[in-house]
Amino acid sequence: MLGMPNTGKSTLFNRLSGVQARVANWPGMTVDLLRARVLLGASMVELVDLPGLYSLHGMGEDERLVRHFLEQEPLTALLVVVNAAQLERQLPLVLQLRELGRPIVVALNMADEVRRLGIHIDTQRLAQALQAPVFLVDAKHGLGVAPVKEALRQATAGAAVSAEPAITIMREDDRCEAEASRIAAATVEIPHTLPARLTDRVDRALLHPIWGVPLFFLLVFALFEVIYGIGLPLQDGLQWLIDTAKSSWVEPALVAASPPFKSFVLDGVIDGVGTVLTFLPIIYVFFIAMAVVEDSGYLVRVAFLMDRWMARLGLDGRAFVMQLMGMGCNVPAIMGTRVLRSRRQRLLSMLIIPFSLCSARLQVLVFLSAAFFSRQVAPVVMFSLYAVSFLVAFGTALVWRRRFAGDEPLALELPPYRVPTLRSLLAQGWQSSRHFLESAGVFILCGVLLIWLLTHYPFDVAPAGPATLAGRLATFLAPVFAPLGIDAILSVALLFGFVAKEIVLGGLAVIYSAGQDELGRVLAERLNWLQAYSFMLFTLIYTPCLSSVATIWRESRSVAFTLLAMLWPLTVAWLASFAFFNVAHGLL
Amino acid sequence: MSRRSLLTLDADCRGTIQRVNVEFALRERLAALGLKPGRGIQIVRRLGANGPLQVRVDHTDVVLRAADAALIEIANGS
Repeated sequence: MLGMPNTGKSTLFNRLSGVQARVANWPGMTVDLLRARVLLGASMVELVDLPGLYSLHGMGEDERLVRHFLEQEPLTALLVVVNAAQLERQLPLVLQLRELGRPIVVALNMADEVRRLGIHIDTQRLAQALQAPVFLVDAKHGLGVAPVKEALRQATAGAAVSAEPAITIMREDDRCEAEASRIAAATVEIPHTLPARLTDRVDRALLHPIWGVPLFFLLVFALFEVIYGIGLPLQDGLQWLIDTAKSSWVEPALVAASPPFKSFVLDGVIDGVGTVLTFLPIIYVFFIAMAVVEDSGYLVRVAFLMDRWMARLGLDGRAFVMQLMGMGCNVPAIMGTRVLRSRRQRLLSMLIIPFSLCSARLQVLVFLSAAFFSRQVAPVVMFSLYAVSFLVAFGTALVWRRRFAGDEPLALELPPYRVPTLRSLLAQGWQSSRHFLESAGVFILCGVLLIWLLTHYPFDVAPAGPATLAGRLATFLAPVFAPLGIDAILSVALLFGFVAKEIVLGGLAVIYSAGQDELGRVLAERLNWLQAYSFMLFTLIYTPCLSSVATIWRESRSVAFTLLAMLWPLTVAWLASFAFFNVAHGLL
Repeated sequence: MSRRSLLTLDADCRGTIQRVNVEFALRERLAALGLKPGRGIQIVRRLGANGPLQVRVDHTDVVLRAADAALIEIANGS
């Protein structure tokens, strides 16, 4: 399945496949492709949604990927999706694809917009000219999909899968262009004056030279409120359910079990599964909201609005949206970088998102600032941490800009605004959640189990105490943390924080064997405020949580990049804490 | 018919593209979006003096940077 960007290809794909689609990674490719098994008549075929491309000979990453796919993969037929409102401009691609010598089926999508624009297309003559079946489709509303399926059945029924790959040696673009113009002139009737489009009116406000940017911030703020207003309570609710199940069913069931096994199940497996599960509501809600922003056509406009500022950081406005979204939770924001088409821009964006002060870190930092600072000073401390978060993120972008800056020039198509349908929104939320579960889930679970082992082995000593593996590791690392004012005991808490930042508090409570209520008092007795702020700085900046790391690894498909995304923040955290602790110490 | 840069075109006036002098990859992409010699073009809006512009060719709206737009030659009228 191929077509230019903004043709509604994914929507048609979802229509044809139900929500059976699987994200699959193909050998030799760095991008995920959606594929689905579709029953056509009596036979099952595999439908693959290839990235949007403008031309078979384009130099962009997506074009290269499609060419690679066409050269490597055996296929029976091509389903070409065309934005019917821009038929003339898109026909050359259809003609190029026809030259590949496979049966093609052409779906003229967005029939609703064609009607609204008053354009008339003679599909019968077009089919004759292209020597291929042509259908007007409204994938968004699910109209006209059945004939496409039937045509695909006929196209695939006769032809066997050809193991011989389609070869793209076609160089006759000019001939395609000329033929496209001729066909379009014969089959498309365009009214001279287009009906005034609502899009223009909305754009006059949203893309206003002065008000456009403030409106964007307002919309992002509203979106943030909606996502986390719904997502965080759901997350808390799920956490409560898991805790309740743990204490009222699993714990009683394990009364007779040996203490190490009991701890393995309760603190290892259940907490690990819980960590994975509690991310799901937020990812689901986040992706529904992002789908609204993307499918409506606003996201491209954001890139347009913010380009002047973000270009200096090697990014565009869409990366900025993700950065702000990361303040709720880094994981969906990292997955959200998929909206960036350039891989280098995506990587740079993934590198800076973990510096966003997420809600989990907020919980820890608010607790510590309340424990160490007066009511008047605590808000200033929190503000300073937000400032540090942005400084480190943008500083990182500046440092790594040369290495990762997008080499893609800005040439974006601004599609008209579209109203996404509920069905496609729910499908996208579901797809992303399943993707997260399938890929990051196991990684996170293993990580949690590893940290459990470190903090609980040997089993006959106090958990997280100096005699455990973690305690010994902390003693070994003491020379590294001592210059920051962070002692060995505190550094074990940071090890907990690697699993999920909010566990830092739980870790501290275990280490000092104090309840959360007394914890603040105990900490205030043992540490001075310089040590505390140094610890807070470190907690803010250091290695992203396990779920973020798993997501970065899954999205980047690069072990080297994932290591960089872990080690760079660790280095910055150490330097920032070191600088603060020693400068402040010298001054006071 | 005088040739000039797309940047000098006033909003809501139409011109015809004469030459697109940008580097190969971008020229190809712009051509696929409809920005090629012979096509009528119109500036819909600009964001600031050096900011990106939104142009309209046929029924397609395209965003490009001012630096690239400066390299597109147009003639008045369409």
